[in-house]
Amino acid sequence: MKSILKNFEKRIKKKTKVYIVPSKAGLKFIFINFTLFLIALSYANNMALLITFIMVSYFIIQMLDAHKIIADTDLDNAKVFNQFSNKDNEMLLNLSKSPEHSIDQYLQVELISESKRLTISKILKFADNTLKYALPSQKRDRYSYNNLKFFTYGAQGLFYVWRYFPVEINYFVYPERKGMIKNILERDNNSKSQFSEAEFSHYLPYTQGLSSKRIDWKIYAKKDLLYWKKHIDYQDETISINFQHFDGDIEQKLQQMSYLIDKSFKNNQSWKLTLPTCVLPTSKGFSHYKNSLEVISEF
Amino acid sequence: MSFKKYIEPRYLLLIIPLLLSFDFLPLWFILFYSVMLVYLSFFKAYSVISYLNFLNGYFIFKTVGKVIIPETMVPFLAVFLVSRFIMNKKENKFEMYPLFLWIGVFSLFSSSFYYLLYTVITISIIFFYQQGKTQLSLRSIFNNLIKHKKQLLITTIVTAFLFIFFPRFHNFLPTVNINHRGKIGYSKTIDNSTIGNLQLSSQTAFYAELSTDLNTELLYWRGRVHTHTDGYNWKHKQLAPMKLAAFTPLKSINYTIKYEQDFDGDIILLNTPINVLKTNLNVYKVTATNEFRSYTKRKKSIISAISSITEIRTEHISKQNKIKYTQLPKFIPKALKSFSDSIKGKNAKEIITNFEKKLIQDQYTYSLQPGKLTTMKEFINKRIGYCTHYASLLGLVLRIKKIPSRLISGFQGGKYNNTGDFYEIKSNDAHAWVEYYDNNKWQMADPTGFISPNRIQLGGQEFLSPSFLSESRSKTSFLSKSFYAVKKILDTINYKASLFIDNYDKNKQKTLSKSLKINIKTFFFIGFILISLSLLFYYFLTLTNVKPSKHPADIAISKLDQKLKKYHLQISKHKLIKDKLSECEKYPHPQKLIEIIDLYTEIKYGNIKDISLLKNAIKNIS
Repeated sequence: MKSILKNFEKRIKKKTKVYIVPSKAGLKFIFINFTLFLIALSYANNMALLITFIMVSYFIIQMLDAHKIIADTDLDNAKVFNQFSNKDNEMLLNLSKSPEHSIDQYLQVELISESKRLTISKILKFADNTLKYALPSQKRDRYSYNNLKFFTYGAQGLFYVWRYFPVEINYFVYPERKGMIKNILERDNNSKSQFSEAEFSHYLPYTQGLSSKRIDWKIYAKKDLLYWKKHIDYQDETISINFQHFDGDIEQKLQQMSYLIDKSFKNNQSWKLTLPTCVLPTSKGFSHYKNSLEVISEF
Repeated sequence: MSFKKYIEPRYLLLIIPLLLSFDFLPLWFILFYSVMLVYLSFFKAYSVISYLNFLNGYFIFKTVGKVIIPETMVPFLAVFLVSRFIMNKKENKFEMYPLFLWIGVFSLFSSSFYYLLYTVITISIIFFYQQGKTQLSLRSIFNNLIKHKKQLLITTIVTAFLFIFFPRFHNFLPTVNINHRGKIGYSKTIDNSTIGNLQLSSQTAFYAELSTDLNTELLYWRGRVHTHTDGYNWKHKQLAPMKLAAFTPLKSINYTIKYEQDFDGDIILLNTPINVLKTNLNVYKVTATNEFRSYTKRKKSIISAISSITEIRTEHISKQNKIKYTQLPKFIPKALKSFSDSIKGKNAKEIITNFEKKLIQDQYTYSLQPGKLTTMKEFINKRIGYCTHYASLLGLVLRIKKIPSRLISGFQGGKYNNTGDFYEIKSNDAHAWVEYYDNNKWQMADPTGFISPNRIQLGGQEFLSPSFLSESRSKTSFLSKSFYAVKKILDTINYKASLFIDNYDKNKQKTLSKSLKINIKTFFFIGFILISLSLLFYYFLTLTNVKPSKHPADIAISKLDQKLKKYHLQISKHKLIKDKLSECEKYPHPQKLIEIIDLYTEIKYGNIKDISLLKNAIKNIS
C-alpha cells in the first residue's frame, strides 16, 4: 500500500504531462460501441448490453495500458551517432524507467526541432534498458533536435498517447562515399588487368606537385580528366582533397571527397581538405577525420 | 497447396457470424456472402467483389431496406464488414470492430450465450494480431490470455459491475415486429392469398421450461385467435366480452416461457391456457377467445403460466358472438360450395371425420412449396398446401354447416432437452389449426394431421428440417449419441445463461437494492464507486511493478561517486554526458575522469560490452 501511495505521489509531482486522445480506430470503436449501446438500452436487451459492457471495459483497460506505456517510460539519455547517408543509422535511448511489458513493440519516437520533425518507429533492439531505433535514411547535413516525443497507439491502436522530453541531440549525416574512378574501372574490365592488385591502392585527382609518371592515361582518354594512381609504397605522401578538383555536381563532388577522406583515414594517411568556404590544414587521425566529414556534411 | 497459406483465421471470424445468422437471414444472402468470403480468401479480386457488393446492396434494399431499423441493419452491416475486409489491401491492417456491432444486432433476434463467447474470442484474436504475431493457434491464444491475466480479470470485474449496476431504460428507438413474408413463422393474420412458397427458419421462437416430457402431439402452443374470414384468409375481429366460469382441471401444468421473438403483443401459451401466474409484461386476458395479450411489445419477455392440456373448459357463447363465429363472406365460390356439399354429417365430429376422409380420398398433400395459391378455388383444384390452407378450408366448411369455428395461429411441437428440462420451440414449429364449438365446449381439430400425421407426431422442426445427427439416429451411432449428449449440455448452458442475463432488469435491480436496504439511487452510486475503484486499483497495481532499473555502467559510476566524495563530485546525478564531463573538470586530474566517462559512454551506448574495463578504470582512481 505504501509503495502504491509513493508511486501515486511521484506521478502527481511529475513535471512532464502525458497527453491522451482516442485515435482514428478508437473513434470508430466509440461510434460502434455507442450505437450498440443505444440499441441495447432502447430494446432492454441485456445480451447486447453485456456485449457493450465488455467493449467498454476493454476500451478503458486499453486506455489505461496505453497511458501506462508512456507514463512509465522515463528518458535518461538519447544519442545518435554520426553516419554516412547511405548507411543505416541508429538512435540509442537509455531509459531510467521502463514499463512492465513489451514497450519495444508499441513505443515510437519523434525528434523535434524548431523547423523539423522526424518520426522513428522501427525498433531494432530493447535490452538493458536501452532502446535501439533505426533512423530513416537522411540527406547529408548537420541535425539538431531539442525535444523528443515518445508516443504510442497502444497495443490495440485505440489511443494516441504522447509525452515530451527536452533533449540535446546533435549529429551529422556525412555524404555518401562514392569513388567515381572506381566506378569507371568497374565498368572497364580490361583496365583491371593492367594493375597489380597488391601494389595499387586507389586513384586520386591529379594535383600539381605529383609525379606525372603515375597519371592514368586510359582514364584521361575516356573522361578527359587527370587521375593519379596511388600505390601502397607512396602512402606516406600527403593528399590534397580539393573541392575544385572533382568532377560532377556539388553532391557528387562531396561524395568523392567523403570517399577519399574515409580511404585516407583507413590507410593512416595525412590529408589537407580544401573547400570554397574553408581549409582544414594537413593532419591525420580520428579527430581530423571527424572534423573533415562534419565540414563537408554541413557544406 | 497449403490451405493455411490462403485461409487466415481472421476470415474465420467472418464465417462464424454467418453460421449464427443462418436462421434469420435470407438464403440468397448467405450464399452470396459465402461466395464473397471464398473470393476474399483465395482470389482477392477486388474489382469483381466491388461490383458484386453493389449488386448485393441493391437486393438488400429491395428485400429489407424499406424500413431501416436495427433488425434490418444486419445485411447492411454484413456487406459493409466484408467490403471493409476486401478493400483493405494491406494484409496487416484490418478492421474487426464492426464485427461487434454486427454480432450485437444478432442478439436482438435471439439470446444466445454464443454471441458473448464470440465477442470474447474476437477480442482475443484482435489482441493477438495487433501484437504483430502471425502464427495463430489455440495454444498461442491461450498463452496470450494467460500473459494478460490482469487485464482479463479486471475486464471481467468491470463488465460484471456495469451489468449489475447500470440503470435500465427502454423504448426510445423505433422498432417494428419483423415478419419476413414468405418465411415460416408466427403471424398475426392468416394470409393465404398473397403468400406462396414458404422458406424454412430454424430461429428459436421461445423456450418453455417444463418438468415433464410430453408427447409431441399434445404440444399445441396457442397464440392469436382468428374469427373473421373473407372465404380464404382469416383475421382477428373483436368479440363481445364474456364471463368465463371458474375452471379447475384435475390435472394442470405449470411452466415458464422465455420468448425470443416479439409476437406483437400476443402471448403464446400451452393449450388450453388457464391463467398467467407471473410475468415481467403487462398482461391482460381476452375472455371471449381465451387469449392473453400484452400492452407492451417487447422481445425477451418471461412469463409463468398454468394450462390444461387434457381437459376442456365448458363455455357458453352469447348469441351475438355465435353469429360472428359463423360469419361467412357474401359470395362463396362454387368450388368451396361443392367441396362443402360433398362432406356429409349430422354433427361436428361426423363432418370432421368425413372431411378427413375426403382429403385422403382426393389425395391432398402437405407441402411448404405449393406455389402461389391466390384463391380457395386454386387450392381446392391443386390439392396441395400447408397448415393455413387446410385450417382455413376446415374452418369454412364448418361455418357453412353452421358450426361455430375459429382459426388459431401458434406453434405445434418442440424439442425437449432433458438435461435442462426445457422445450425449444422454433419458427419451423409455427402452425395453424381449428377450434370448433360443440357440446358447449371449444374443441380442437387439426386438419394438417389428417394428411401429414408425421408433421404432428414429430413437430414442425423435426419434420421439416431434421438435423443430421437427430436423436432417433443417435440410438445407433455412438458418435452421434455422444454429439447429441454434448449438444444438450451446451444448449442447457446457453438457455440457463441467457435466461439469467435476460431476467436481470429494472425490477431485479430494485429488488436487489431493497434487499441491501438502500434506495435505488444509492445502489447506482455504489456501482459507480465500485467500477472507479476497480479501475484505479488496476492502474496502481501495475504501477508498483515498475522498478527503475539501472544499467551496470550506471552502478559502476555511482561507485566512482563514493570515491570522489571528498572532492564533492557527483557524476551520476547528471543525466547528460556533457554535464558529466563538465563535472569532471572539478577533479585535479580531469583527463582521467574524462577517459572513464568515454568508456562509460561506449559501454552504455556503444559496442563495448565488457563492464570490467570500466570497473578496473574506476578502481585506479584514488
